[in-house]
Amino acid sequence: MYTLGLSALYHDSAAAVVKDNSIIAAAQEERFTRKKHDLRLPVNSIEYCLREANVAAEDLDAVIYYENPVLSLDRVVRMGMAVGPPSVKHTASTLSSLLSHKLWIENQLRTLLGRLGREDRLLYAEHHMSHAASAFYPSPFMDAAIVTVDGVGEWATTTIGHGHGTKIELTKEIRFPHSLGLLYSAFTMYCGFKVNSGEYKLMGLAPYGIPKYYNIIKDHLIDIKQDGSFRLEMSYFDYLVTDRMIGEKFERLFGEKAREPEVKITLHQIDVAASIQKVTEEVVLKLARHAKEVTGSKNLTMAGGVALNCVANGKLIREKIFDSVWIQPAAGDAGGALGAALLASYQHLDQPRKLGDKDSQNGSLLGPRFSGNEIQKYLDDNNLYYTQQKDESVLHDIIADELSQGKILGLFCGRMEFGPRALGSRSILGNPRKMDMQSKMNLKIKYRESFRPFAPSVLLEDLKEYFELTQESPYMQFVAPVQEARRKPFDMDAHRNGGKPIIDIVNVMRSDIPAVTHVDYSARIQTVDADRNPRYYKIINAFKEKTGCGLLVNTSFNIRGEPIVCTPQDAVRCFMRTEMDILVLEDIILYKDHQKLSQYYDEGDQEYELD
Amino acid sequence: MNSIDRDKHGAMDSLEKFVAHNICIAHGHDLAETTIPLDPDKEVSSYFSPRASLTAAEPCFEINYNSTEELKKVLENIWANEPALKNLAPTLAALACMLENNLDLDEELPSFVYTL
Repeated sequence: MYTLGLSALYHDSAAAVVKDNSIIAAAQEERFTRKKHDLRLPVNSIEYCLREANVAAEDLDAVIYYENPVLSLDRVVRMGMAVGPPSVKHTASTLSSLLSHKLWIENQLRTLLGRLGREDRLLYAEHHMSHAASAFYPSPFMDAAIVTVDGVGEWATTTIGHGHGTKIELTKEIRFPHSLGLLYSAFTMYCGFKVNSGEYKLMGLAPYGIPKYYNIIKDHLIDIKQDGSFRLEMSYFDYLVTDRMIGEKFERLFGEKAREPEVKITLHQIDVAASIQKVTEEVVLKLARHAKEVTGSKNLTMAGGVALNCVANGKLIREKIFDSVWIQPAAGDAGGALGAALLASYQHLDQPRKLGDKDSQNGSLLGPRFSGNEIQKYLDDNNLYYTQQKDESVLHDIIADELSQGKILGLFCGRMEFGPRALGSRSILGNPRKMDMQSKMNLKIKYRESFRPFAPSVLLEDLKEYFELTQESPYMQFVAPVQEARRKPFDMDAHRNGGKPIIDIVNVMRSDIPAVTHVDYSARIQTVDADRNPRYYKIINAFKEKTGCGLLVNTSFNIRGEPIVCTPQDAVRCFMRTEMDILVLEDIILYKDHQKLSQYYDEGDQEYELD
Repeated sequence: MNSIDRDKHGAMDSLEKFVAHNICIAHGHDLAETTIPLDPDKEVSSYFSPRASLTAAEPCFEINYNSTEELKKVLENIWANEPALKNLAPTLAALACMLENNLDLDEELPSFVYTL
């Protein structure tokens, strides 16, 4: 039985198809339209998912949307009443978005698809139930506590529940406007980053700082109870009355105006980032402890945008509250499409649930793949010079050799990842032992801020040799310390007090794998095993044979502000416009110095707005 | 500006007036404040609410409206016990009909996207 799940019209539109109890396909619309966080109906994602599943819209057994727009309307109207005259413009603006599109999602989908499955009807799931389903059903657990935390969905911003077999029960919630996701976004905006994409930057900035504003935040902005529930002091926030997250009172509390985007980052913003990160971790840990008390389960599953805070996730593991933790790789709203599809399959169509050895997310490689013929045709049509290496082991040896020499390589192979992390199918790779790799990749390849860390992909069997992480992390969702024996001492205080930009500390050797060691000796780890991603596993193994090092630098195949590449065309364009040295498209190799660059710099096509 | 544009522009004006005169009114605060706490409360031990919603009797559900009249009934139904809200249903449903597809989704995401 086929189910189509959809998220759309808020942000990060996506589609997913589930057959019986197997995830067949899932993709986020931004990858096809090249518009970051695209919120429009996921026309391309739907078309791809149905094609991948080989099913027509009229033959679907269920079509389900991940949110209840009527309940969202209820919230907006009640909030307008509660806040009163100051929120007229904001309430009208929010209502117009609901009334013009979201409330008519069923009509819009029927127009798009012709027929909404065999029964021509649209099912709905509630927002946090969709998140919960995306967390629990693909997990390797038959029984687990469930925690969802995000900005807001209908009324809820946080829920706690319990999954068992095919059943999910959400028992408790925290309601809007009190939101950990919105609190983190408020600080994202205060530190000069873009809401809904800059949260990762704030998290990456935090380790440079000292949490000196931790008590101020707890004394004035948020009241946290022992069970992890919380309320915000709304007089400091403007998101109920304007399109700004914070107000002047917030800025006065911290003694400085909000940083303007792209302006130099100061110690103030760095310490603010460290402070809100510490508060966030405290809430997440308390919520997890409470979920353990309530459910008695030994396993935890999580989703919602806050579940992408992999520093907090790493602390969850180190606290040993649960035996095992599994987090949906597409934890944000895109993953709601997958959750809704799974919910309909298990709870509406009553499909049985079976567990395998691993989770059922299929490595999160759920997007489109492109054949060698398609790739070659594009390269030939565009007069690009390439070689083909059909012998896999020779190809992997070439890749390993180039990486060992410090070259930077774009890897495009197999099915595209679902979720915000590149996991070896649409990745840019580098040598983690090279001291200059982090700044080179940030400034010459990604065109992004120099302070941002890079993640390692490590062979699962070598995990403990490099990192203090006690469970696998196939979806790059946990931050853990680099093993102590590998660390090199450096004086953080001297940098803070020495008058130099704190960000310069990024150029100090911190371990024998400096490119993936953050300033607090941490790393955001992806473990790679032969089952989930055999080709990537073999490439890292080839690098290990050449160098003795079983890990690589892995960053997403895109530049700043650009969605991760989807097609060979996207990959070639990104390759040609950056200082990447080599591009591997399946078994085809392109060297930058063999190409004519002008056509890609002169064609004047899409540029991306800075995120 | 053609007649359709004028109608849609007029609908936005109508929406803002409706919000100002019927939703964001001073005495509306009295109606809603009992159910929407905006400030911390040091006296309580937990801010969790039981997970109870208006439609979640089943995890997957239909809402069933395809017209203004049907949407009005859905809204009247969820606000059946709250006359101040129920009275808003006919106008909200009519505005939804007037505004359908009015917003340009090609524009950049608003910065308050999370609060939507």
